[in-house]
Parts: sequence; C-alpha cells; structure tokens
Amino acid sequence: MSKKTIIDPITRIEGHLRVEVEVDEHNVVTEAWASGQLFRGIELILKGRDPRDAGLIAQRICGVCTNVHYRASISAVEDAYAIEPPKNAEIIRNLTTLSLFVQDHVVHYYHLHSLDYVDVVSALDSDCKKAKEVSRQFHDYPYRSSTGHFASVKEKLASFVKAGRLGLFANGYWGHEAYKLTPEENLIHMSHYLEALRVQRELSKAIAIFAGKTPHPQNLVVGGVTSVADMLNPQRLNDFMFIIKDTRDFIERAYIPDMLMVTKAYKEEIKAGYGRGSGNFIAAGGYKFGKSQTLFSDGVIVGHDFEAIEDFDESHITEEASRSWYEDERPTTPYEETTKPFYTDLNEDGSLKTEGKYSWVKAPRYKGLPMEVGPLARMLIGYVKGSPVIKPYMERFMEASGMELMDFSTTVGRNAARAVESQVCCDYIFDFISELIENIKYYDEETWTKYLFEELPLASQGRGLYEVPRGMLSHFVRIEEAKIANYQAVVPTTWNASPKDAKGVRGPYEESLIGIKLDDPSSPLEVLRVVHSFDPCLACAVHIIDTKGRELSHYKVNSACSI
Amino acid sequence: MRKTIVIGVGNILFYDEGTGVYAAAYLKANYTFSPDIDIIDGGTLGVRLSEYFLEYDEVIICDTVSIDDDAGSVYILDDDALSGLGTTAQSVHEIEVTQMIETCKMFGECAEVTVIGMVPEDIEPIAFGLSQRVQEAFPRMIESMIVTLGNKGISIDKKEEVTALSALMTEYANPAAARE
Repeated sequence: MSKKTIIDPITRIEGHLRVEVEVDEHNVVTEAWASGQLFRGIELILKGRDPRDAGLIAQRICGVCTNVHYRASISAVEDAYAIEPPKNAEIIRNLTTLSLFVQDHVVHYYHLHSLDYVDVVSALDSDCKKAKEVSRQFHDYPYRSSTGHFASVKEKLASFVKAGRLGLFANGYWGHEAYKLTPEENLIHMSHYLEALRVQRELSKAIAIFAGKTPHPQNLVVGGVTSVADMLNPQRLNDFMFIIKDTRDFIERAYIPDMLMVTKAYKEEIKAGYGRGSGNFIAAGGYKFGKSQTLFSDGVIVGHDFEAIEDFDESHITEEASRSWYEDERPTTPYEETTKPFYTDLNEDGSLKTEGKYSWVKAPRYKGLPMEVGPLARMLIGYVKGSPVIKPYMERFMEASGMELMDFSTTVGRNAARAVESQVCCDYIFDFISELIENIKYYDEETWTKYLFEELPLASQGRGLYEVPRGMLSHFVRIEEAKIANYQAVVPTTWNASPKDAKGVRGPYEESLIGIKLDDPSSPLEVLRVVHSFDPCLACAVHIIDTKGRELSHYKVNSACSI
Repeated sequence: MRKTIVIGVGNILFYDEGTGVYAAAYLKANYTFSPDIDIIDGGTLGVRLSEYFLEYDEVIICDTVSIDDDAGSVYILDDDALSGLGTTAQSVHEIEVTQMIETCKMFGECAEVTVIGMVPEDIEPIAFGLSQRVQEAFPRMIESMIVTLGNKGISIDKKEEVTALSALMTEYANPAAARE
C-alpha cells in the first residue's frame, strides 16, 4: 500500500514550491512531484517594452538573485545588438557576481539549510571544552574556537530558548533519528551559523562597492557599467579586497571544516547514494581571466558517464509544458516559446493533480533530457575536464574527506561541492581584481561602449547565458520594431525543479527523491534535505508578511485617526 | 542619535504586493526629516535584511501583511506583535522577515523593528500599479509611517512640491524613461 505525503501544504499564494512524494509500506519514496505554485509571468510584463528597460524590470523577478537577473537581461540585449562592453565593465560585473557566489553559498548553507543537519537543542548538551578539541579534528586552526567563545554561544542559545523566543527553532525536527552530529558538533555549527551572519553582511558591503548600496542596483546599462568612480578609487578597491580576505578565512577555517564534519557523520548515506539523481549535469562555464583562463568549464554529462563528457551547445536547449500549466506543450527553443497560462487547478483536497498538469515551472531539456545545474554540476564538469582551477580544490577536499567523485552526486555531496566552489570563487576573485588594477594602470578607463539606440537594428535576438550561484541562468530576448517581442528566462531552479515531461521523465528534484527512506513520514526531514541541497529559489517573488492567524486587532490603525 | 531606516518591502511586479515599496518611495519624495533618515526600496529581500537589522537602531518596514481583515486595513506591528512569528521547518521557502528578526536578535545586535503593514486586495496579477482599495487606503499607510517616526523623535516636514502616488507608479512602471 502506498500513501502520499505533502510537504509545504500552504495556500497557493504563499506556498511557492510544493513537493509531494508517494511512499511504500517501508516508507521508501517511490514517486515524487515537484511543483512551482506561483506564476511568474515576467515574460508577459516585458513584452512591448523598450529593450533598455528589460534589465531594471527583470531584476525584480527575485529579491535574492536581483544582480544576476539584471546582468543576464542586460547581456541578452547586448548580445542582440552585438554591443560588446569594455573589458573593465566585464571585470566589474564579474567581481559583483563572484562575490554573490560566495555570499549565496554561505547564506544557503548556514541560514537556509544547516538546521536540516544541526539539532539546535542538542547543542545545549554540549561540553564547551570538548567542542574546542572536536573543532581541531577538522582544521589545525579552526575559526573562533576557544572554550570561552563556545560557552558564550551556548549561553546565547540557552537564553534564547529559555526566553520562549522559540519561533525561529520552534518547529524544527529536533530529536529526529536522522540527526547525526554530536552535541559538540552541533554547537560548532551554531557558532558558525551566527558568524556567517556577520560574514554575509560584510560581503554585502563588498558587493555594494561595485553594484551600489540599494538592493535594486542601477549600476549596469546596455553597453557597460556606471560605477566608474569606484573603479578608479584605490581605497574602495582595498576595502573590497579586505572583505574578501576576511571571508576566505571563514571559508577555509569554518565552512570547509563543517562540510568535512558533515560528510564524515553521513558517510553511510553518501556511500549509499542518498539523494542521487539521474546523473545528467550541465554547465555553460565562463568567467574569463588572465590571458586565456576560464574559472568554470562548460560541459554536459549524461547518466554519470564522466568519460563521455561533451562540450555544451546552447542550441540544444528547449522547454516544454506537457505537465505545466501552459497551453503550448511542445518542446520549443526559448526564442520561439510562448507563455499562455492554462491553469487546471489542484484537487479539491488541495493536493496536486499528479496525473495531469501540476506546476507553473516548465520543463527545460537539453537534447530532450532533464539536467541538473548548480555547484555540483560545475565542480564535476571542471574536475572531469581537468580544469587547472577546479581540479586542485576538488582533489584537496576528496583527500580530506575520503570522498570519491561519484560521492558528490548525493544530497550531502551537493553541499560539499557548494563549499568547494565558495573557496574557488573567493580565491580567484583576486585574479580578477589584479586584472582590473593592471588595466587602470595602463590608462584603460573605458567602462561603456558607445552606441546610438536609433541606429541599432529594429529586429534582432540575443541571450545572456551565465553561471550564477544556483546554476546556469539564461535570458532570451527577441526584438521587433525596437520593442521586446518575446522574452524568456530559464533560471537554475527551472532546470532543477522541472516537472515531468511528455515521456514521463522526472525532473532533478523528483528523481533525487526516489528511494529515500523516511524515518517518520509525518516529519519528512529526509525529503527537505534532498530538496534544500539544490538551493531552491522559487519563493522570493512575493514577500507578504505572514502573521499566521495571530490575533492582532490591538495593532490596527483606527481608520478615524487623523493627524 | 538613533540611526533610522525605512525599508519598503514587496514586489512591484505583483500589483498590491508593491504597496510597501510605493509607501517608502512616497515618503522619500514628499517629506524631509530631522535628523535625517535613510529610506530604501528593499524589494523582496530575505537574508539580506539582516544588514539593516544589524547596522541600524531603528528599522521601519512597510510591507503587505496577511491578516484576516478588509483590504486596505493598516497595522503597526511592534516587537511584541512580531516576536515568535519566525519559523524554519515544514517549509522550503526563502527566509522570512520575521525569521530574520529572530536570527539577528540571537546574534545580539538587532535594531528595534516596526512593521507597518497593509492588508492587500490582490497580489496575484502580474501587473504594475495598485488596486483601488489600496490606493484609497494609501494615505492611512503614510500617516501611520509619519506617526511612527514622530514617536521615535523624528520631526517631519512636508515638501512644498507634491509628488503624487500616481506619478510614482508611472515611474516604477517605466524605469528607463525615468532614468533619462
């Protein structure tokens, strides 16, 4: 007998990503459905607009990924008009994006995901002296690891719990069988959880140096960047480097050791291939620096066949919608794609109609196959292609953790790949900075390629294709009569959260969930771990504050109030 | 001097979801403050809200709130009203405003946060602008922000030239035109 478990059974407006799984009598997942519950429709809002508007509007798709959508959108228009931004503009864009890689990864692991592995309540039983010793097992000079520091973290946690401020941790699955870290390891993680808050705040300051202070940047324009003054200011460059150095320290002495700790505790799950998908990976690569080096390699791996790795060719990207809430179902290239909603609703009990259409996410395919994108894809592809950038970092982690390449293709492995990638980005940012300094030294201060909009072709098409923290991002624009005629964004989460296709082939989240055993289907921690390991991002398009039905009439502003 | 910031939160692409963003923009366009305060368009920030919670003494967030009440109703939610609302598990969502307040409190450097929230009429259409109900109630939102700032010891003066809400909505819907 099989039964269904629904994760995130919230209303249509607030629950943006829903996962339903079917488990057998042993509580092993036999089928899964991932559903995006929010229609984005950015494509519709951009139609008929001035192509130079696209970036400022497309950046609002998401509050977390603002900068990368902004860049991909601007680049798509530049590509359509064959406008090449000057080298300095490209470097400044890269510095912003690479800082975001590090910031997103740190925030993802500590603030969005670590509590799937860290039992906060267990940390209260820890011995601070022992925690100090434990931290030394994973690094010779661990980050902030004096007994006194651990004692203060423990005290903070305890007072927080005691004061009844349990909101943050109230509905964790504390005490769940699947938590394996020791009380001391939990305490070390919680200490880094708090430190990571400071690290990510500093990184925001670094990003602001080139992208401006406001959350919605205006520093990019079709043809280049506007942050010229910052580029020429040595003090600001110095500030940037200082923050990156500080962050690098955190990654080397806290984030990587924490990943070693988790990979050790979950060795069995890793070896058993928990959370492994179909083994299809894709990356567009990119981020050129120096004479001819590239930070990320491009490539396509099918079915974990590392030997048969192929080069990436964007013309094989299609999207289809046979199981998605759109009219046109056939696979088409993004340039030709339509966005005509065709909502067939949920079942009466609020569950997905799993036999038919069940998601707002379309099904992107490469040569007809679903593909996983993200840090794992990039690290595997870089390693297999023998990248002089990626391979040494992967080897170092493999040696320290005892993991083999195949082991990364798991739930825990995805997190490990993300940590390794953070280290790569942090280290190589310095190469990009020195290139900028070199250019300025030789009086190349160009940051904008001049063009006259009136002289540009009236009809054209182009795309912005980038590796961004969560995976491969692409924006496609078709221009007719100097207006946007069609626009499509295929974002990393579209690839990973893809629903099934016409042939019934599952998307990456779905495939990775098959075979997962739940300790207790009413507390599906194991399912959350799998989905969270992809760093899902479907949620940020709407941001209403949920008061969870609390009685708040006392706080209402009287309508008669006048001032 | 308590460092103060007003953050407009929401997504202007989803109709009434943009209420908070317009409210912050309206305040910035039409008033002067002594001592001066920062006012930003925060969009749909998640974890990055922590920067403001950690850097400022007073954070005033204007946003939409889900409360079972008529569209256009305005609530001023202080620390007591907000405490304990942040949760983690059972959800694959990005982190929420309320969750971030709690995390920063634990870090030990959290600003005093006040949320001025309006119950939206409709946040489902993909469209710029605001519903009639929200537009009608908009002055109440602005008044609530002014009263809140006043209670925090900030004196506020109205600028001579008035920028109407409709002008701000047009500006947000046509960003490149506004920049030129």
